[in-house]
Amino acid sequence: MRGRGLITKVQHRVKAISGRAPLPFALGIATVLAFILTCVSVSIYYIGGTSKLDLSRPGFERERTEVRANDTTKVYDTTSPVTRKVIDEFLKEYDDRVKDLHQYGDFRDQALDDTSLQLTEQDSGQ
Amino acid sequence: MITLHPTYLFRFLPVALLALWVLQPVVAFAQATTSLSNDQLNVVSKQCSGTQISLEQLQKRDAVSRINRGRAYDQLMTQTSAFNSRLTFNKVSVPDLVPLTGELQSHIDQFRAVSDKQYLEHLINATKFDCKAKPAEFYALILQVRDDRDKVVAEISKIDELMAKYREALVKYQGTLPVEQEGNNAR
Repeated sequence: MRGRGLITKVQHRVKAISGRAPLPFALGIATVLAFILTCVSVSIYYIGGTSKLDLSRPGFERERTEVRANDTTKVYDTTSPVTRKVIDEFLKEYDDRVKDLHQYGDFRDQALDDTSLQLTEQDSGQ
Repeated sequence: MITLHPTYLFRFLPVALLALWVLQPVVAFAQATTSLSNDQLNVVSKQCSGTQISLEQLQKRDAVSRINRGRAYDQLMTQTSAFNSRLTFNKVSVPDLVPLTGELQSHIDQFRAVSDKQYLEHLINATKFDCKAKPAEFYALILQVRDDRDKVVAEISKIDELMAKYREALVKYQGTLPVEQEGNNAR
């Protein structure tokens, strides 16, 4: 009962304010909504992990040039008969794609060694 | 006797999850064993500004590799899935191909999860960590990042292995197709 009374009171108050100054009230609501939506978007950007792979930020100019362009989506024939020739064509494209993969970093380098990270004793003396 | 009402569980669940989220880095630090001497800790403390610059460069480089590999894997999956559909449409049964494609997709998803949610996350944390004040924790974080990177490598190796198996299975099937039927409907 007490809660319902409070809601009614708030409703009356909102009606009074919006009735007196409808435009500032609408602008205020729009600003608050925009702020909330921005907070939600930024949270999704960080929590979803997009921020870690976002190379459109300043400081990533060189990296942007190294990212391969998204190929146009190829439409594959899924109904024609399967023959030796078809499999040969498939394997040719498949092998090309696998070859492409070898051009990209495979995380196997020793970039996290103590020496690479300058965490060895001899480096400290330099 | 104390009875726990189910609503209490629902009330405490978010608190427990929040506590787990907050304690996660602490647990990670505890897991990574750092038995560094005082001299070694001094070296880490002195050198860590340079280390963080190297880590930032590595983060940029590995983000590019992660994006490029992710896109290339997607295109490969589109190609293999379409070919599997073609085989199914033609009522051709190659038992290995469909499970291999499923396994491949699952490891590609795992590659993304490990590289984004573990490796890059911890790497970024390391670049921002107060390494001068807490060298032991910083080194533990580096050990964690190394471990995460090894997991990414393991996923890539598994994907490479599955791709080779897929090719092998298809070549094996190709060998069963009679040469004289080439160009005919295989249905």
